[in-house]
Formats: sequence, C-alpha cells, structure tokens
Amino acid sequence: MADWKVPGSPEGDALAPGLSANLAEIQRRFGESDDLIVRRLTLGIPSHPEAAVVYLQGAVNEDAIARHIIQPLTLDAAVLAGEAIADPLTGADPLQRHLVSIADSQKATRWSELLKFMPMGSAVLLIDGIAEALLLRVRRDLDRAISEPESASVVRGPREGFIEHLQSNIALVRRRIRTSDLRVRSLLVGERTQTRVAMLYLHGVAEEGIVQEVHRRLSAIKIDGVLESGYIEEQIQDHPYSIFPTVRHNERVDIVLGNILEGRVAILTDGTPFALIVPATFPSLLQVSEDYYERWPIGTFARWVRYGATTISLTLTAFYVAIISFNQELVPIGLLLRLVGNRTGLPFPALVEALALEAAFEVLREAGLRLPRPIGQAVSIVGVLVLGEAAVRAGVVGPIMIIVVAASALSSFAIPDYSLVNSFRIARIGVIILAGTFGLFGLMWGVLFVVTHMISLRSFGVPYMSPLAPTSGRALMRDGLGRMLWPSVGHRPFRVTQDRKRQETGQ
Amino acid sequence: MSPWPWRKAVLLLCLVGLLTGCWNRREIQELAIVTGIGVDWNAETEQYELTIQVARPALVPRPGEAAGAGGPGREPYFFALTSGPTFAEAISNALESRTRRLYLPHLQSVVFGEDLARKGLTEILDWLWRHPDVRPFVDLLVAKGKAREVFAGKAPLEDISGRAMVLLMERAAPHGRARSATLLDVMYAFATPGTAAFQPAITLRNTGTPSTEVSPGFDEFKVDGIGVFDRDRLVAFLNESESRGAMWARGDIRQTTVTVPGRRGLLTSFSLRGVKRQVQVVPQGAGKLPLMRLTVRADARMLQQESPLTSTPDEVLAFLEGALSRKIKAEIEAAIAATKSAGADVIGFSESLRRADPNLWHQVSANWDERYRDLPVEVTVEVYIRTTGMLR
Repeated sequence: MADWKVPGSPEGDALAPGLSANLAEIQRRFGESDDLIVRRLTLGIPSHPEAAVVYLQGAVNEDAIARHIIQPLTLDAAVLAGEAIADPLTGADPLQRHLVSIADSQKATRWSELLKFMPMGSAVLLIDGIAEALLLRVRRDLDRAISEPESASVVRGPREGFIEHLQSNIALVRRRIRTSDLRVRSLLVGERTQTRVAMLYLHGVAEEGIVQEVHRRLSAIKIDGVLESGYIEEQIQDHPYSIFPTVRHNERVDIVLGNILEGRVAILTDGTPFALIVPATFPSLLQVSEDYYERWPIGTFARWVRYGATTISLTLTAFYVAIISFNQELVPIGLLLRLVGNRTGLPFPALVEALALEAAFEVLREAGLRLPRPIGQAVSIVGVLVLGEAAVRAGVVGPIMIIVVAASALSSFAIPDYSLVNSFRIARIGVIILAGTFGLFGLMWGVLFVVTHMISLRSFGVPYMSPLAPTSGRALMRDGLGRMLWPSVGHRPFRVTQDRKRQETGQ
Repeated sequence: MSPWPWRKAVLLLCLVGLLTGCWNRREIQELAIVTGIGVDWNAETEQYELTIQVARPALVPRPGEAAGAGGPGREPYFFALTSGPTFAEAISNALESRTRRLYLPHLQSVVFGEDLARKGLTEILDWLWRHPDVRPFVDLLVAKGKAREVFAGKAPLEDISGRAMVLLMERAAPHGRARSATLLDVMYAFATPGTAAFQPAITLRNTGTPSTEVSPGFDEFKVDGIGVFDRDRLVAFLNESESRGAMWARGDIRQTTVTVPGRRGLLTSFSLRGVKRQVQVVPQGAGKLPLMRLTVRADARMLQQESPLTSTPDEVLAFLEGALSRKIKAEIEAAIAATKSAGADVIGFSESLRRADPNLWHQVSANWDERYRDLPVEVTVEVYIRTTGMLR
C-alpha cells in the first residue's frame, strides 16, 4: 500500500482519543449507511480496554475479520498479554506487531485516511483512549475464472484473457515475465471510484521518457469515476479530436506481454479486462499475436492481407461510386457494359444507393452487436434476406453495389483492432461522400486527407505511422509489413524503446 | 492544439463547391455507349453519312448465355444513322436526337468508307483529335466498300462488332496480316513529313456454311491487307501478301507462318519469330538518292514437313533457310514496288534517310512522294532455322 497516492489531508482531521467520540464521528461521516458495521469488543489484556472494529460490509471479507482480527484481539491476547504487550496500552503499535494477523496493516491518525481506505476494503480498529487507528486490509476480492476473451479469439496461442480483477491481472503478467525488471507502478484515479490503475513496463527496456510521460498523464487525470479503461484512454491520448486511436486496448494477456517485451507500457485498470498499451502505432494495430506464433511466411502474408483489407475497406465503395458516377472512361469496355446492364433502370444515383446500403449495414451491425445471441441471428437473417435479396429483386438497389458494400464491410472485419475498425468506418463514409461528389478526384482527396492526418499523429512521442513514415526499410522488413525469422527480428520496434537490441543475432 | 483542428479542411471542402470547372456527374446507366462509328461520303447528296453503333448493355449476354442468343433484332447494340454536310454536324445531329447522351470515351473503332477515304479524311480526323472524349487509341480502319455495310457484319464469338474489329486487329497484327492503326499512329504519320499513313482494310466474307440452325451463315469480318494513304487520301490497297511484305519491312511481325517448297517440292511450313529489321543508308554521291540496304532477320521453327524424314540433315536446313529467305524477300520487294507505285512511303525509308543525312533529306522532303518512286532499295533477308520442332 506504500506507493498509493495519499491525498493531502485537510487540517484538523486528527482522530480523537475517545472511542465513543470516534465512533460517533465515523457514523456521521458515513451517514446512515446500513452496511457500516461497528463491532465493539473488549481487548483480552489485563486492563480490558474497550475497542471497536469498524468496516463496510460489502467491501471486506468478514471471515478474515473474525479469524484474524477479532479472535486474536480477544482470545489470543489473553494468552500473550503481559509477555509482549505493555499494559496499559499507549498506542496501537503493540497490537499490530503481536496480535493482528493481517498482512497489510498500517497505523492511521487522520480521518482522511480512514475515509480513503475503508471503502477500499480496510477494517478499522479503534481503541478507547488512543488517538490512532489500525487500518487492516481485508478486502473482499470478487474474482472470476480466467477464460478465453470474447472480443478476440485465436487459433493458435494461449487462451488467457484478463479479468476484471486488477490483482489477478498483474499476477497474470508477473507469472509470465519473471524478472525483477518488470515494474508495476499504480495510482488511484477517479475522485469517487478511486480506481486502481497500474502501469507495467520493463525497466531498462521501456523508454524512460515515455514511462515518465505515461505517469504524468495518468496523474493529471481529473475525473469523477473510471468504469472502464476507455475513460483513461480518452484522457491520456495525444489527439483527442482524431478518429484514430493512439492508444491500443486489448483483452489478451499474450498481446500485452508481447508489447511489454517490445518496450511498451501497459496500463491495467481495476474493474475491466481491457488493458491499454502505449505508445500505439498504426502498424502495431494491424499486428496480432498469431503473426509471431505462426511461421514467418504465414505471418508476413497475413499482414499483407490485413493491409490490403484496410485499404479496401476504406476505398472500395468510394471507388465504385466514383467510377459509376464520374469516371466511366476508366472502366474496361466489357466490365462497363456489364455494369450498365446491371444498373439500367435503377432509380437512385450511385451515391445515394451506396450511403443507404452503408447505413443499413451500420444499423444491422449495431443491432446485432448488443442483442442476445438467438435474436442476433434473426437480425442477420432479416438483414440478408431483406437487404440483399429483396432490394435487388425490387430493383431499387444494384446487385454489384451490394457486392461492393459487402466486400468492404467484410474487409473491415479483417482489421484486428476494434477501435481501428470503427475509425475506418467513419473515414469510409467521408470518402464515399467525397467520391460521390467529386469522383476519383474526391476519392484521392479523401484518401490523401486520411493518410496525411495519420502521418501527422503521434502516440506518446512516437510517430503514429512509424516505421512506414518516417520510413525505416529494415524495421519494415524485419517486423513491420512483414515478419522475418526470429533471429533477424532481433530488434524492438522503431522509436519505441531505449534498448533496441532484443537478442543476440549471432547466426 | 486548436480545439477544432479540421476547421481549415472543412472550410477548404466548402470552398471546392464554389469552383467552376468540368464537374460532370453522370450516372453510368444514363449513358449511350458508342462502340463504333462508320463514316461514308454520299457524293450525290454531298453529305456525310454516319453509322453510329450504340451498345445496349442489358442485351449483352451474361456469362453462360450464348452470344446472340437473343436472336435477330436482339443484338446488344443498335445503329443510329445520321447525316450532315460536315462530320461535326452529322455527329451533333446524332447527339441531339437521343434521350441519352452519346458517350464517346469507349469508342472502339472508326471505319471509313472507301469513297470517303479517297476523298480525304482531314476534317474527320481533326474532329476526332479535338474531341476531349475520343481516345487517341481508337482504331481506324478503311472499308473496302461502304462503312455502313461493314457494320452489318458480325464476329461469331464477340457481342459487339465495334469491339470485335479491335480484337481482330489485335490478334491479326502480330501475325503479319496487317497492323492496327490508331488515331495517334495516323496523326503521327501526318505530322511526320515523308511518312505515309496506312490503315488496315476491312471487308466482309460470308462464312458460307450454314452449319447449324443457330448461325445460318453470316457475313464475318475479314482483314484484307492495308489501305495506303497519301497524306489524308487513300491511294491504294495492298493485298494480303504485299501487306505482309510491308510488315516484314517495318519489323511489325511478332509471329507468322510461312510455307515454302522443300527440295523435292514438298511443302514445309515454318513459324517465324524474332523479326528484326535494319536500314542502312549507303550514299551514292552528291545529288543522288542513297541506296537503302534493308536487312530483315528472323528465326524459324519448323511446324510441319511433308517428307518422311524424322530428322532433317543440315544441308536440307540450309536449303530451307534459303527458300524462306527468298520467299520473304519476294514479299518485301512486292510491297516496296506497290508502295512505290502508290507514291506512299509506308515502310518509313524517309525516316531512315532523315536520320542518316538530314541535309539531303531537306532537299528531297518537299517532293518525297515522287522521289520515293526512284529510291534504290536492296533487300537482304536472313532466316535461321533454330529448331525443327522435334523436341520430344
């Protein structure tokens, strides 16, 4: 608990020496909460001082209180009294040293400390006549089994995902990176939720400046409550107004481990299985752990597919709209005749048709996302039948337009990072409108705008598009557009780390 | 950072809407795609007569359907027939009397009637060259007869005949029958003094064999040599053999088949590839035209022979090489004789002369058409039989 951030306590909040005064004050501070339990007891030492254990029922493990606090203080003390414990008591120190069998305990003399730690699962021991209290951590941990994450599944690789419980998540990392260089620094974020947030990084590998910057940004967060790491992501990202994510989030343990090994900083938040990873670059968002688990030619090929799919998801519909409405001279004659044949008699301009289909697809996706699974299937059936089949039969939508919109939607699912998928969803609509208004000129305009915008981004000082721009051919070849054999990967990513060399590249 | 970082971009985007220029959104289904134009000159009415082939995409057979399955009247194209005292007027008559605008970028081929070609093409070529929608790569052909009649022809495997002519030229050209001439080629020849333009000649040939009830015999396109132009006027047609001779001399043959009699008069066929030509300009003294030493080299592969030999002795090969050379040389010389009598330097000796001796070229360029008739040309053909094809 030593490194927790203790907020500055207001003046004049020292504990009173009298037990009843202190208990009255606690009751006042916590209002009429029914789960505030006050357990009065008499210490088992000869002078029989009155004492009380105070705790919030929902936050603590009552079993531990009974066995490790109440029992030693009342029963065991009678045996040990006189030998080790000075009588009468002058402070809480002897009890802490000799009686209480709780690992994490500390003395407190201020109300602010009590009010801070009690909701986090500490029981407070107050003794009559002594103006100090013992804070005993008996937090109740709501754990759950570690299971395969729903948000990202894998064919080959570990199936562990983080859970909502921060300590378990840190343990998952500690268990796998077993070196003293793995550092954990935690802070409390959120005025009211007091959520514990931990930064994990490899000392001597992660760039010290980035570590400091992450800590600075985390400390600077001013927010009421943190319910998910997204709250933190929004407050530490470099470009709040960009549609592109400059912080990566992931639920998979192995991805977080891999990024820590690459010299990045992982941020774990209590209450959510989603870890944040910084700095995040665009190429790293298109990489998945299986790139490394599979043999390198397969990993490299998969990356190419992903880059291609990203491009298609951004431009395909827009390209089709542009050539349909403006640049027909670019279509080979055979294809042109087929296109015209398919579109003869369609009532709407291509742009309207494309936007309508995109909208339908977005609605379908949003609808299917949150519905219970059995209903979700019904939604997709309705979507497929009504949109795909009936719309074409009715002659309001061209079949090729359906193919194109479906292909670009399909491609967007090949992007592994969910935030990035959403970024390209939004960018795609913009590019389609541009293409439908200015043709291929508009498409180029839109793509250039998106690309230059992406190049202008930075994530914690690291250029977002590195190693694509600024270009490092070697980095691209080793572990960028492609992935080479492990001995020649050998280096950590461009500009992220202070220790670029990963292993000896002897052979 | 500015709280609204895209402000400038959004402002720019709004401003783009105020720009003038050729903002031309047109839905693909609103176009009438022109795939071919035939132009004839009617001397009686003194009018240009246009045959404009417009695609009907909905009738283009889908994959799996037989071409022409629609039967007569269901061809995937129709013809817009117009006329006018000038080409521009004739075509604008057509443009103005349709519910959809005629779309020219996919114009595949322009066929000129023989009468028109003999009268001169300057006006039409000028229109085509100026029109922003017409590509410089559109194929130009000259019909033996009327262009409108040629468009009645068909290609059995293609849906759109305007397109079929282009494909025909693409396939025929490397085989030595003729060479396609694009608008760019022809304009380039016009812009180069001395060099004469040519266009492949197209005609119809009835297939003659009513084989099935589906295709009761029809008029098929046929490339029939080339038409040779003096400036913009057609002056002569070269027949197929002469046309191939010109192609040899121009080095425009990728692969062609040549048949020669063997030692005992048995016919032997060769596939010739790797054709290279070279012109050496040999000065003949002041004021005289130089000797053009044209050398054509080619590699031959034996396709078939009628003698029972399984392997061919070297001396037979040497004899066959000589026979091939003689045959090709004869074709080239016939072509040169034909172009000389037409006064049209299709082979491009003028260009060789201009490069070798610019001063002399300046003296003779004014009346090169006449001087070409007297140009001494020495033809050498070297053929090497590289394989007899017995590779198994």
